Amino acid sequence: MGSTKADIAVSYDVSNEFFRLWLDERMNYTCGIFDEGPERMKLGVPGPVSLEESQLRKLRILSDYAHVTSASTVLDIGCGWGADLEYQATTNHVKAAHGITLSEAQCAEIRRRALPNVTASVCSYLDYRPEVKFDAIISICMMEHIVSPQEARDGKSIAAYRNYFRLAHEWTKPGAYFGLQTILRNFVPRDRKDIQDLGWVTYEIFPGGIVPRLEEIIAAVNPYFEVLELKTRRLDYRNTTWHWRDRLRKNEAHIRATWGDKVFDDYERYLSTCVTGFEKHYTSLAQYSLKRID
Amino acid sequence: MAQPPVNVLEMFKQAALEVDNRTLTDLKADTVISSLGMDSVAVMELVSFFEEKLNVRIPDEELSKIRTVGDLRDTLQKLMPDRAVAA
Ligand SMILES: C[S@@+](CC[C@H](N)C(=O)[O-])C[C@H]1O[C@@H](n2cnc3c(N)ncnc32)[C@H](O)[C@@H]1O
Repeated sequence: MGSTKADIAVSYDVSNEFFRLWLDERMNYTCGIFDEGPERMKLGVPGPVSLEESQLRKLRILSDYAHVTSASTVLDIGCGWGADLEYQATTNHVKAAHGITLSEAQCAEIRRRALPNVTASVCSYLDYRPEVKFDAIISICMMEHIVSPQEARDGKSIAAYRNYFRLAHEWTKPGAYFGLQTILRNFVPRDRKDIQDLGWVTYEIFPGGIVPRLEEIIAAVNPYFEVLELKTRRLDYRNTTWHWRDRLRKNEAHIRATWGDKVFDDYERYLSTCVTGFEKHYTSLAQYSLKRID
Repeated sequence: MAQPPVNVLEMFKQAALEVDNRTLTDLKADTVISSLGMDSVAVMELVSFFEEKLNVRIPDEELSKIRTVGDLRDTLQKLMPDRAVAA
């Protein structure tokens, strides 16, 4: 069953103030889109596009992939601290947006923002039963929590992902589109330090979950959704995690004093592992435009 | 010249000692790797020990199918058809 509510608290409930220090101002905790061309992306230090701008670009792409208009009702599965809900309300001016998250701290932050036409609840997608059907779905890096490493080893991934798409199908109207983003597990490292670091991130920072493989997603969407567009964004996530680590480091003294050495050291190791993982192709990122098969 | 046969049981013991500081005494072909109490990260390190020593690469999608020491032997044999691999 993937990450439990207690697992999610480990990943997201350190403290909202802690995450605010190193994420962008709206607290997107997922890959932003820099689109700066291959040369720029290869450099050690990312180019002039800010983390804030990259997150807005990401939300614009996924809104387009989900065909969101001001007339839409939108569901955000795994809505984090509400960055996408805020974008739907204040930029797309949607009719209604609802977010579900398993984190109490995140839901409290969304309510604090008091966004127009936005509601949110602490609820697992497995238990969610909406009263009305939605025009569009957006889900940004939530599928990483659906399957545990053990379930993946037992060959249960595709069935679990398919169940997620089945539910998304059930919650939407005919003609609906789905803007999806997921991290990808490309290949398993063989370097001993990299194996240990990636294993440590999987078990200690995001317990209960494992990143999907592209072929699993492609198999699992059927018979519920059709993949219309698919784009991988490995270096964009490399740059996003680079920015996060940079901001984390700039706040080192404050973080150590407030949350202790372990929190700083763990997050520095985790973000460094991500930067390396995207650079060495262990992991990548994909964005998909899916159309409901009616 | 033919290469010497590979003894998977002996190599497995050596790998367990090296990557996880474990002495395995009662190892057989049908030993289930997960029952040895090594975590999955250590198991992955162990696999890469074999790959490095034998200069092969087990495809990622095969990794999850390896349950026993004998399965590891079979996978290695497939990758090295010209060499005797025993467990
Ligand atoms: C990496 S965060 C991404 C948050 C947000 N989409 C963003 O872009 O910042 C993953 C989110 O998935 C949520 N989540 C994990 N498991 C869930 C479940 N079973 N049901 C609903 N949400 C879940 C977490 O609570 C968290 O909000």
